[in-house]
Amino acid sequence: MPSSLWKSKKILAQGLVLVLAAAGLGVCFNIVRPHGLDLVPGPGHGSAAETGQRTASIDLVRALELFHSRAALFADSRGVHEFEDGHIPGAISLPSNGAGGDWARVPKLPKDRPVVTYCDGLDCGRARVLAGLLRGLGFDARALDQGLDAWLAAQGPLEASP
Amino acid sequence: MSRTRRAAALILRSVLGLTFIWAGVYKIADPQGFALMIANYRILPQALIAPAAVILPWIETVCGLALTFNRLATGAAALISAMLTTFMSAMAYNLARGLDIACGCFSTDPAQKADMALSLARDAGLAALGLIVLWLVISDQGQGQARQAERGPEEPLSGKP
Repeated sequence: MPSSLWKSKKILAQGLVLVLAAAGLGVCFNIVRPHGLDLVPGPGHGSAAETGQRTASIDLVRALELFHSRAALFADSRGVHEFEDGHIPGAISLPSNGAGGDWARVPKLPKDRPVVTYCDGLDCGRARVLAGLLRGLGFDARALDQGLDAWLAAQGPLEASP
Repeated sequence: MSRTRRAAALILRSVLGLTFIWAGVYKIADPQGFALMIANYRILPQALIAPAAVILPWIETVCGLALTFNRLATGAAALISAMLTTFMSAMAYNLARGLDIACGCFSTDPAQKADMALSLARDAGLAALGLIVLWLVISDQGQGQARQAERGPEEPLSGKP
């Protein structure tokens, strides 16, 4: 039926207008607002190969170097209680389930300082999710290979929350 | 269209529109939080999380405004129904694979309870409302056209009964 075809064309056209208007508004607002999100991961961080990688990671040796030179910020992706029980000294708590921790501080963190995310060990899915999210926010973030298991095996220090 | 039906259309349109404005504005206020919520769903690839967190709340808000003020309402109702279907699929997918996370639907507060099943039920209700509104808006316009056709093509567009 031609009229129903006309109608569905009209619905599509209206939907397209609305989506384009919303996308334009969203992108413009994101540019002018303070602490907007980085829509395209910045080219300033790491090599092209690294930025193109979906699950950028960092090995233990390099992480220990960054820890001792205080060049990197460490972010704990485990739950708040696990963080309180023991974490890499100076780390901030960014639980990957988003519940509590230091998430409110994220917009104020310096983006030129690399971030190392970590979780328990073996299957560090949460650290990779967190690293990916932080990269999306414009940070140079990488997940620590093998997480805290490797850290402890290398006798890396831990501290508990007071 | 009878007066009761027109009143019902106005009320349902406004309720759905205001709901979406509310949901959108919450997320516009906290893009970082909303990006985290989207990441928690573990469905979108990393590169799409930030764009989705920036644009999706505006689509919700613009569609909400369009429905509330009855401009481009057909497109808005269709988009809202499509969005709700997508959200429900994402929640159902996560429920099925045992990932019970905070919904991030009306709040970006991550301390909010994980409540996928409840959110899914609520979105099903909203989706039903979306389809009813879509049908009301389309049939309203269809009747408007029919009235216009009866009067002949020369009739000015502003001649509403």
